[in-house]
Amino acid sequence: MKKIKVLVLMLILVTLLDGCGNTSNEASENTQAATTSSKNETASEEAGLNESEDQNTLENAGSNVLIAYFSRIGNIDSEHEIDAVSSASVVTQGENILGNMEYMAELIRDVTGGDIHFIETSKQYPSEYDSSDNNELDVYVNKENRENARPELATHVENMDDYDVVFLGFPNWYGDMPMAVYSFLDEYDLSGKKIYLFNSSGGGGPRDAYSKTSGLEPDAEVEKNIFSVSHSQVAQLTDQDMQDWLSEIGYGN
Amino acid sequence: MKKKSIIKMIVDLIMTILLPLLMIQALAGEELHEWIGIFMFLLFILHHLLNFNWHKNLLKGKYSVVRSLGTVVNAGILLCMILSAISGILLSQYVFAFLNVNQGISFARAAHMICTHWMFVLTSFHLGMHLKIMKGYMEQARGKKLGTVSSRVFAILFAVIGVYGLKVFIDTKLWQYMFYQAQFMFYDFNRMAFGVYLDYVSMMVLFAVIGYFVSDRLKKISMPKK
Repeated sequence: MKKIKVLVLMLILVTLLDGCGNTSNEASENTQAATTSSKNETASEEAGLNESEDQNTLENAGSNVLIAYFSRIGNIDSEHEIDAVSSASVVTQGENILGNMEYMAELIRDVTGGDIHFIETSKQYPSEYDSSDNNELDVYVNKENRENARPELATHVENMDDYDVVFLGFPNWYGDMPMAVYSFLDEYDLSGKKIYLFNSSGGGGPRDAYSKTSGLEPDAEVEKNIFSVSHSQVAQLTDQDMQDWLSEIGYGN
Repeated sequence: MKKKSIIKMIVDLIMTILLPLLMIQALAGEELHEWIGIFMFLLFILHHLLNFNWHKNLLKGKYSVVRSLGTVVNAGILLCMILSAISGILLSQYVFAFLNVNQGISFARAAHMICTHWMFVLTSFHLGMHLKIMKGYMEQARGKKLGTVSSRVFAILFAVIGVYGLKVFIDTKLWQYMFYQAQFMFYDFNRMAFGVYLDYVSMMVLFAVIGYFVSDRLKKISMPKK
């Protein structure tokens, strides 16, 4: 919980700074800094806390697990405010707002340890979005999807070789994985690694994310059982839900 | 068998085979779905032309309960078909992508989902109402009438498939799509497309069976002595 609170505090700081008139570039740099410093915090915390804990937890703790996720929240130009009340894409914790995918990534980290990597695009997406309306983001994403675009990524994983397990999370965008996820899969060769997918959607589910991911990473072991929930259910998820999923798929065996 | 009858039969048969294929959309391939949709629309127009007498006689004669029902169902199908076609064009990612539609996509999504599902249910019901005609096609093609035993076998077969269709209807919560309780269609991509296709065929059978019984009962009510 402490790790989550730290990350959330960082996010609030960033949002506040952004509101004070920073350019979007500075804001994304701050987000990146926040993620990195919280990662360091996590590693040292884990080292301290896990001395007396189960050998299993220690073995999995952060060393070889990557939790990568793409999210609308964090990749938008913030022209419109993120309205927690009407947006199905966020989880509100007190006064803090987390993107759905981020929330799910953190739950996974609670259970598995691991490093969280936020897939960020160089060019930001339109923030005008309402899940029930035709809008700027919808139009933009539709175009990207039709063109089979590969948006340039702004964040990179330096030590991909160190990871044996990759959790990959994304929302359903136009019946497909967001194009940024394709960019991510193009950039890294995940051969020999185990890939677990997690997803949120407006009801359409992960569609054919399994076959698409397997196709792009033919020498990786992609788990067929995708953790997929409707965006309205994300806020109710707990560590236990992730634990149940991981038990179901025999994670760690 | 008359040429026109053969063409009618083939058109109806192809539409019956293609309809569940359209319903499984993403599983069958999104671009293929668009081409089949266009083809289906053309067959629909052809079906209307081949059955032009129905149009000619629309304002003539008495309207029994069953004829009224049939007319309402047909009107519903026509409306759904037109809205499905328009919304389909707006949503097109392949065939009509050049149109670069930027407006009204959310509305088109809702319209397409609702109208296609209603069309699915209504056309299946329509098929059931005209089951005797389908039977007639078969008998003309074979050159002999369907025997009593065969009729019973078919009846039992349809009943069993229909019950399975009811199970599928409940499992997939198809009414959610009909009444816009769900915004997006869910497909289980871990399943084989053909399996899901058969699921939709069984739902067609369900509504056809309902259509058959409803029209049969209504006819008997209108003509109690015969």
